[in-house]
This record gives sequence, structure tokens and C-alpha cells, in this order.
Amino acid sequence: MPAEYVPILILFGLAAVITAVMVGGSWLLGPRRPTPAKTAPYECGITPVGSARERFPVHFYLTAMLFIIFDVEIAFLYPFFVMVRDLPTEARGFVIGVATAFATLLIITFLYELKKGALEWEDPVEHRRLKAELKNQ
Amino acid sequence: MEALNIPQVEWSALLPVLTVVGAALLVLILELFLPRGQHTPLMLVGLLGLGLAGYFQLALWGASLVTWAETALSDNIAVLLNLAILVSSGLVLLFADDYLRARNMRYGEFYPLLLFATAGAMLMISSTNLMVVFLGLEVLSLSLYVLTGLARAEVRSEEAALKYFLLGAFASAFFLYGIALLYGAQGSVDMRVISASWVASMPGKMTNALLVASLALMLVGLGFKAALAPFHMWTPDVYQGAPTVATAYMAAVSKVAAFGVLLRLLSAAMPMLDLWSPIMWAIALLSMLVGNLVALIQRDAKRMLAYSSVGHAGYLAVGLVSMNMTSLTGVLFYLVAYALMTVGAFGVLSLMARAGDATTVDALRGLARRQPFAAFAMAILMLSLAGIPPTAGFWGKWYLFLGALEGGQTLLAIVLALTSVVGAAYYLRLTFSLYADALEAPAARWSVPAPMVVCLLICLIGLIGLGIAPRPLAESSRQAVERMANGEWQVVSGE
Repeated sequence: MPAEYVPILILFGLAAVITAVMVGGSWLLGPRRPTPAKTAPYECGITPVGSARERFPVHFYLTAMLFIIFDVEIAFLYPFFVMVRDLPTEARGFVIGVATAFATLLIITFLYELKKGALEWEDPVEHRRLKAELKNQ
Repeated sequence: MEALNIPQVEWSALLPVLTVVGAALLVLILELFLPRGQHTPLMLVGLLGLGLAGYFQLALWGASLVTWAETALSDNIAVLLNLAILVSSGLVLLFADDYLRARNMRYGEFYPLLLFATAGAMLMISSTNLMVVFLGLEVLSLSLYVLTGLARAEVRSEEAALKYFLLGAFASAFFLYGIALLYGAQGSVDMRVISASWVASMPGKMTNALLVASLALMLVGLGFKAALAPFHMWTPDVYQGAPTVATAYMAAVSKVAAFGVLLRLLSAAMPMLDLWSPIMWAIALLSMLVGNLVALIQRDAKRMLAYSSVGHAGYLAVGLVSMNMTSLTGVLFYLVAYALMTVGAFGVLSLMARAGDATTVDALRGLARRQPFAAFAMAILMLSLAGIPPTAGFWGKWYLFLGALEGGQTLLAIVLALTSVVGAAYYLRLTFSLYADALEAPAARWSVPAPMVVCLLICLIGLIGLGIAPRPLAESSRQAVERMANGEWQVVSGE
């Protein structure tokens, strides 16, 4: 039935409108002071031209990995809780219990990485080295 | 919308695994709040968790439960093998701290990783649902990759970790592809369905071909984890490069877990015996020959034990090919004995490595003068690995040998006996060198720490006890196999 797909069409429309407002708004209202660095294509913070085989902070990998864990968590939890409303009451307890067990495991890992300093961007050793370099210039 | 069936859950079947996971999480959090390098509480909590899990596991003896929507089970095989895994983990946990401290590897992560790996290995054995088995396999493997690379400053450890990770991921992919094809063939990932769908399938039809391909792929994946011969290439490098405590753990636990799954899978695929039996036959023969012959020329004791573990995997494979009550009893018996022997042997080597001595066979010369107890323990462990009575290793080989004869695998039985003699050559050479005079001035004396004494005593008492009175364990193993063969399951799942 095509009528069932109308919500998806509305979703597409909403996405287009919101994107247009955000991008257009910043284009209209934002100050424009271009520098070579700003106009360069965005490449996750890396200089987009040159050899691909250079060293860059290992933090990128760690952060990306941690991001994926929580990204996947959210991807699981959304359908979970959309489903719960339609369930019979006696099943709800079980489903919420399963979701809670899943979330608890992730919260423990989150506490772990927080306390281990995995989310602190500045590596103390690297930080000191950069500071010394700036002083010498 | 379709009504959702909430599975009726029998908690006790998964309680041992859950206890270990709980202990692992507790240790993980505890480590954050302890001062750096303070690892005794972690060890104690870990041991407590393992002990509790062992208690819950023992309470399940005699039950044949299938629960959690048929994704978890508990039978006597699971109880026996899980107890072997728990004991090996407990022993490694006991003596690891000293080694890690001496080698300047004070990473608290060792403890949660070890416990997670244990939970994974137990999960592998506690299910016939292959997706759950795969989940357990990955939890075990991923923890082991990290444990292998724990010596971050040593290139060899890093190399071993990378090698193990790449090859292991490859083997896991094989296993997973096998599961996928199995689902394609029968619409279920439960191995208990294989036999029925094989009987129902027509030769030359799609289902038939898919079942054959899936079994072959799963054999490759599990053969890698069990270090069976054409898939054993990683074993010596990884065993040698990994920190010795991690080697002790992985040698014992991953072998028990992989053979547990192989045992279940192959007996589930009993009607396909004609197909897999020649393959396993060749694998068993190759493993016994390659493992034992190459171990003969190894200089490093860790490498020697690694190759000999390939040989031991070959002996166990003989038990699987023969596929009768005696041989399967032998497999279970051998796995329990093997876990004790390996943990003990690598434990003594970790003492050597800890003191900065090399782990070459030459460096072990004259150990008896310096360290009478460690040398004595090593000698008994070597005798047991060689299969000399009155040790548990002898009875394990005996049952496998008898089983092979009973199953009509005379050639395999002969090769088993002959390669055991080859094995005895290098084990005894090591034992003699322990009691020979040292080649050069002996290195500094070192004391055997108390936890290691306890651990070695447990190994020795276990091995000699089982050697003198093998009957209780043999009987329990036999019961476990018989119950599995009868296939009486109490299915707990609400509809």
C-alpha cells in the first residue's frame, strides 16, 4: 500500500527542510572570512593533500572505536523502546529487563573508559612536546 | 503484529557463565579504584568468582537442560569441561601476578580479560546453538589476542598478537560462513537439527551440498582454534611470543573449548560420518606426526610444548574419528588431564622466564640443583604429558587407544602409540636435563613463590590422583557421553 509509505516521504521532506535551513542559515547569516585552511575540503582534521602514509594521533582510532560502541547501542535501543509500547503487559518486564542488562554493560564500559582517560584528547607527553616546540619558535 | 513469546528461563543453566561475567565486570571496575600495581584484590575477587561459578556448575551435575529459547544448555559434558576451564583459569590467576610484576607488565587489564575469556570458553560449551557458540568463541579469542600482546615492550609478543589476530579472524570467518550455510540449508543454527536435515535431504540437491560445505567450513574454523595440523601454523609463534602466563591459559582453555564444540558438532553430525570421518582421519594423522616430529628438534621449551600441543590435539582427534563410547570418554578424560598438565608445565616455565632465565631446554639443565621443587614438579608434568603411568596422561592415552581399536581405526591406534614414543623422547630428554649438571655457572637462585607452590601442588595431586584412581573421572566422562548419545533433553521454554 503506497499510503503506508507516506510517513517516510514526510521524513524525507523534513530532513530536506532542516538541512536547507541549517546550511542556508549559516550561509546567509554567518560571517565569511576565508583562509586557505578553511576553504580546503574537510578530511577529519588531516591535511587533505600529500602522502596518505603519515603519522597522526592514535587518538583518532580510539575515539572512533568508542563512538561506534555507543552508536550501535543507540541503534539497538531505539527499536527496543518503540517495540515495548506495543507489547502485552506481561512481556514488557522481560523486554525492559533485557534492555537494562544490555545498557548496564555499556554504562560500565563507559565508566571504565571515562576513568581510564580514554576520552581526554590531550596526551600529557605529546602536550608537553608541543608546548616546548611552540616556545622554541 | 505477531505476539512475542517470552521464553521461560531456567537461570541455573547459565548461572556459572553469568557468575564469571559478573566477577569480570566487578574486577574491571575495581581495578579503576585501586592504586596502580595493587592487583591482589583483583586476583582474590576473580578467584572468588571462579570458585562460586564452579559451585554452581557442580550443582548442575546430572541435569540435561535446554533453556533460554534453546540457546543455552547444561549437561554433564558441559559440567566436566567447564570445571576443567574454571580450574585452569583459577590456577593461572593464582600464579600470574608474580610473573606480571617481575616482567614489568603491571596491567590490571589482565584480570578482567582472563575472566571474560573464561566466560567465553564456558559459553562455547554450554550451547548447541551455533550463533551462541560463535559469540563465546569471539569473546574467548578477542580476549586472547589482547593477552598475547600484553608484553607491549617486546616485539615478539606484539608480532605474536598480530599474527594470532589476523589468522584467528580469518578462521572465525570460516566458522561463521559455515554457520551461514547451515542456516541456508536447514533454517536453523542449532546443531541438534543437523542430523534430521541430513537424513531428510536428497543427495545431489542443494540442502545436501550446503550441509557438506558448512560442516567443512566449521571444521576449518574449529581446527584452527584447536591447533589441529594443517591449521596449526600459528601455534609455535604465538605460544612462544605471548607472556608465559597467557600461554599457559590459552594452551589449556582454548583447547578444551574447541574440542568441546568439535565433540558436540561431530556427534550431532553422526549421520554424515562417512563424509567427515576421512577428513578427521587425515587431520588426526597429520597432527600427531607433525606435532611430535617437529617438537623433537625444538630448542625452546615453549616452542617444544607448542608443537607437542599439536600432537596432543591429534590424539584427541583420534578419539573423535573413532566416535564410540570409549574413545569419547577418552576425549573428555584427556581434556581434563591435559588442562592440568599444560597449566602446570607453562607455570614452571613462567618461573624461569620471570627470573630472566631463557626458556630454552639448555637453560633448564641442572634446575634440580637450584630449584628441587620446581624441577620435581616439571619432571612429573613431563611424565604425564609423555603418558607414562601412574599419571593421568597415561589413562587419557589408554582410553583413546582402546577407543581407536574398538572403532576399527587400527592404523590410527598404531600411529598414536608410535608418536607417543616419539613424544616420550623429547619429554624425557627435558626431564633428564633437569637433573643433569648445568652447562655453565648456574644463574641466580630464585625462590618459588607461595601461590606457585599451591598451584603446582594442585596440578601434581590432580595428575597423580587421576593416575592412581582414574575410575571416578572416567566413569563420569562415560556417563556424560552416554547421556549425550541418548539425547534426552529436558527442554525448558514457554510457548
